[in-house]
Amino acid sequence: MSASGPGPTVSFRYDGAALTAPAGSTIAAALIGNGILSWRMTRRRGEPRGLFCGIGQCQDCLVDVNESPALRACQVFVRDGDDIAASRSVGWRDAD
Amino acid sequence: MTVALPPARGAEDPPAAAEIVVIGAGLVGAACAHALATAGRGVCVIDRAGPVAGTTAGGEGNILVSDKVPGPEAGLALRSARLWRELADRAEGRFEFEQKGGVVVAHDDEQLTALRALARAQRDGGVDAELLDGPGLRAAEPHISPGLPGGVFYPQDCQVQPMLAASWLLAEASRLGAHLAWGADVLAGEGHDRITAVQTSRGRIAAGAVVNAAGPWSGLVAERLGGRLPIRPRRGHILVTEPLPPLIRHKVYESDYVTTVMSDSDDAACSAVVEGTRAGTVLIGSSREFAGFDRRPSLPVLTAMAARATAIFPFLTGVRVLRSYVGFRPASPDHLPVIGADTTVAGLYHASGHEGAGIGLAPATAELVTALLAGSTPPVDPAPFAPARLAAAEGLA
Repeated sequence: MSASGPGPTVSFRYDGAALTAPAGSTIAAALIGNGILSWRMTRRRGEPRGLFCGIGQCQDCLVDVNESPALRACQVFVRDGDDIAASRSVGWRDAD
Repeated sequence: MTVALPPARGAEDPPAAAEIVVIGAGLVGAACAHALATAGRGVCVIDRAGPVAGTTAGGEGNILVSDKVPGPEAGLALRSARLWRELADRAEGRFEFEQKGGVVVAHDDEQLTALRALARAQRDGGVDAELLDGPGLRAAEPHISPGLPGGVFYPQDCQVQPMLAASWLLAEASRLGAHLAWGADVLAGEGHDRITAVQTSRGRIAAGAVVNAAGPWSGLVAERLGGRLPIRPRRGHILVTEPLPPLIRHKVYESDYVTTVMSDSDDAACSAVVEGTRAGTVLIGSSREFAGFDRRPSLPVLTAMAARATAIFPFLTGVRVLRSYVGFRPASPDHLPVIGADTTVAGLYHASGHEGAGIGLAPATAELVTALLAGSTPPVDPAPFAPARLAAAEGLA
């Protein structure tokens, strides 16, 4: 599945699946363009979450990108080769 | 999907008469209402806005004995910590009560010597305090800065989610028959020398007695009721981080926090207070300043707080801050709570002036208020907290 438009595209992985998106997309746009509407579960009740406010305020769209946990998908641009995973919604995991 | 909401409490009009009117539905007012209703008194709680609309929602939920220098407030804090544990047992986990303990850290040997002297004096007053050397400090808090020489562990310090706790206390009071009426602003009191009624924006309530638990607004409420209470809002900031795995085990703060609490300067004073919450977020305080009720956050203050917190927990430099908030503490001129009868209006009682300790001191405050209203002897001597001391200090007595 792909969400390529007429311009340049980038390739990335989401939970292991190879996907593409128009270059310059936010991760949220890239995922939604591939039909993925939810990319994390809430920590307590396990309810699905995805894009809500879209402007960096609500913290609902957190996603794990490469080695960085809990980034806001609406505020980060997808880059070629990104390895994106559904988020555990908890940041800064390398304490030890 | 529809969600079935519980019937709204506080929507009904206030009753025409109540044995005792409690003004303020923050934690202090909620604790007073709960204690009075438990003692069989007829209670009506009113609030200008609604439950936990003010200071209770603007703080951290600390129940501390560690930051009290030996004296009357320390006795009240010890009593209150015990009452909190009893309430938490009854609430069965409904308000995130944690007896997590507090760790106070020193930055250098001079601070450590002073901190240890304070801890020894506190021990004589019944506070549990365990001296920690550098390795002991790192055993208690594995992610703490390796440069810190030591500190003191206070196992009696607790944490609570104050909004949940106040809501639980109000719900319990309501179950025991208390009326709750929100959106009722106090306009004036009635009666000569003795208060007989409170006029509110939602009607008049004839009252046998009135408890003023309006926090930083309690001075204004006292004035409208014909009394006097010199309470000023002392502003504080808190930073909230993204949710993290549990990395900070205790409430951790700098030893100069106590000095900051006791200072009288109008300028912003900062000292680091860091703690994790059940939700995973880390709360970073603290600041104290007299800036009226200005809700605009101060970037220099937030920056100073963050710098101090990262000096204690270096890993915080890699953690995102989600938001900040400000709150207003009810500050009395001598930094002691003001609990007891107004000096001029009979039947008016104040439960205020706790500054940043209102959450922790609320149950013991409620116990004092309940005893004073019943004419009985409370377990803690109320004399040091009497409003009359302030009038005397001002030459008004």
